[in-house]
Amino acid sequence: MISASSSNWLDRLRSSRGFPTGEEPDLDRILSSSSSGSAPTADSVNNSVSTQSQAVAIPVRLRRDKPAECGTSSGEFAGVLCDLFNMGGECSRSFSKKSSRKQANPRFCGASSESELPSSSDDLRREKSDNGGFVSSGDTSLNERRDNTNTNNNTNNNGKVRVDDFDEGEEDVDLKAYSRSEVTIIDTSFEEWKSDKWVFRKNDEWKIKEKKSKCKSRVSAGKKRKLLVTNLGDNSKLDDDQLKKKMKMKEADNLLQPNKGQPQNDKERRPTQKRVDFPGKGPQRRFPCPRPPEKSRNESSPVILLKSIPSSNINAAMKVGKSFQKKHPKQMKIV
Amino acid sequence: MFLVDFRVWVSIDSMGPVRGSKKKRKRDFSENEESGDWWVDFSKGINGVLSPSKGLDKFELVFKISRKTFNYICSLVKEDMSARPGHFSFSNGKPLSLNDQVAVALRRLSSGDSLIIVGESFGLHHSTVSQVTWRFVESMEKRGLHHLQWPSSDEEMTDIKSKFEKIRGFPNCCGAIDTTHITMCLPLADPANKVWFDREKNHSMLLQAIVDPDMRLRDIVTGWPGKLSDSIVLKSSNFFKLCDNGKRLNGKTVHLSEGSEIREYIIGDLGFPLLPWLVTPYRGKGLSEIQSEFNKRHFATRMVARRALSRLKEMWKIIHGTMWRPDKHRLPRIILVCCLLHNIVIDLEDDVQDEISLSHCHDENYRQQQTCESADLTASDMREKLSLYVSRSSPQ
Repeated sequence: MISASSSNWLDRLRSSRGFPTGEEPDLDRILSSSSSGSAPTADSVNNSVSTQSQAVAIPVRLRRDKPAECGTSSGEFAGVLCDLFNMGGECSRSFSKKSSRKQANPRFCGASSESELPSSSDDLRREKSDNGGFVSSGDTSLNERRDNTNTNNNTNNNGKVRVDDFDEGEEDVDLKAYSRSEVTIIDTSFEEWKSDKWVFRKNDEWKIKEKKSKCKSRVSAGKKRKLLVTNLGDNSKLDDDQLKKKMKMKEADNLLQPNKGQPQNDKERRPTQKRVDFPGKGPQRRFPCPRPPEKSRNESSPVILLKSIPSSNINAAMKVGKSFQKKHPKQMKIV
Repeated sequence: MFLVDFRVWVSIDSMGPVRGSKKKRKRDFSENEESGDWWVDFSKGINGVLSPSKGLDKFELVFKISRKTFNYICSLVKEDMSARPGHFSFSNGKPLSLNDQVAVALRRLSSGDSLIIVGESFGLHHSTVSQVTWRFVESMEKRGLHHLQWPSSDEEMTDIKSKFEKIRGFPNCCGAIDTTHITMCLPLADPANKVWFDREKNHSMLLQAIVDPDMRLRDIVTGWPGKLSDSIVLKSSNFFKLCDNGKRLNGKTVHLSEGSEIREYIIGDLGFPLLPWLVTPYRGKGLSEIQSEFNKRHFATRMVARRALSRLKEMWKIIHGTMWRPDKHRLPRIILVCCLLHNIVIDLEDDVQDEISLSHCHDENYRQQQTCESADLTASDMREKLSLYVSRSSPQ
């Protein structure tokens, strides 16, 4: 493969990597510069690196298996060749061009799945921790918090798991670094023995939070309708921002519940809005309960069977759904 | 296409309804249910379960409860499960009666077999098994919760204390607390399942129970991920708050022989904190003779909790084995109903429970003993008094 390549290809590759092109590379200078970990520049190297035949002599396995930081000169040489000829990035030396592809301090992306959020940067967390005092990053801040805070439910069991049960006033703390899961807890000591809670987890640090929804999450469809009538007014008490944060779409198993897949409000019924690209991107706001049958909705809006929609082409699916509904109105209902 | 299959797949294992799965099939066996006892007729339609080679030819061996208990359970859920009698039907088109529905649900819960196996046994579609079982669970939650409650009367509590004292001489003891893991089989590739990954590298959900000397579950907390420690689950419970606020375990104190008093308390292992109302054993090596004796008696007394959880899982095998991708919101409710059924068997003094071998191990795969460092000074004094009292009492 490599032997079939032309010299122009080699020159382009060298120049893209910052190596000088030419027929007589100064290997010593290249090796000495590469051992320091910095990328060689055109100024530091005057001659070309190697001939094509040398490149062919390096087997693919050798190039892939060689460690990035080798102490011996042969290892360095292999590393250079690896950098030159292996485009897959197996060697971890940091060329400026490659490293620029990633941010040094990536910031948190807000739209993520319900239960697993990516870690935010340390900078971001430190900024937030100044406000809330509840945010930490890494073990250092965890230890700090162990010393400084003393909430009721703080328990350190063998230094492995720590749980904070925080109040409503603390909900502005940064929980983006935590993965969030909804759990159903049964505690027979309570009069309301069943409750839904949020569990926020970051490594071995756990936070528990009551779910605010006043509607029982797991009831039969008949009960849901009754509950909705009594609970519709309660939705007004919930803050929009809180709902945006909390009412994300659940995982696939939750979507399988009856009525879970139905668009629940006007926003979701807009065909242009990517409402059903689940999991991960949930609706901005949903009613916790399904719409009662007496609540009339726009008859022209389709009720899409979510399982049949490919997530890659939502708009197309919506159009198909519309046309299909005209032909088979009964089959499009989700119940 | 994949999503369609997945949907059915998950619904099966979460015992959720499978829509569109009702199929009309030809009747494949004759109907002779009109005459005789329900069980006689019902047993004729069971495939595989009652084969003589397995020795399972009795009602008790199929459902692990007596007919008396079965009838009582039917009476509990009658109103809910008879609401739409023609809704569920066998493969031959015959509608499921109340007894049929309860039998299917109990078989599902007690055997731990998959929906498909249970369905094939009874000539039902697996979705019917799922729906009937879930209907039963919902009804039992509503109708049977009074079988799982903290002792409400003084007489009841006095009886409990007396029975505990008879075990190894612990006075004024009101319960034993223990925790078990309900393991689940969840896909590792799904990051959402990480929260259920515990220290023993299983996916599990916790069940924490306070047990009386008759192995009756008096208080449970379930639903928490398996990685949380016993101590954390306890502290998150309302039982903890009630005790901390003096609203529970606040009954009569007992005068010990030395003139000191001891309040009501429960006992637990080293995974729980030492609290004024929760007595744990002494920890570490080099214990005094009194302390060692105390620990022995403590272990023997709290064995009722281990036995209770072991029997619970043994009788209701749906929570014993590794559950295949259960709905994590429904599983706590299934656990609760299994606990209710466990207590009903005890409350009705069902003889079947005597035939079940008692095991002491309910968490076979959890060898690692948790330890909680938390200790209260008042509790330490109380434990000292208790250990002195217990060590001077007659050897058991």
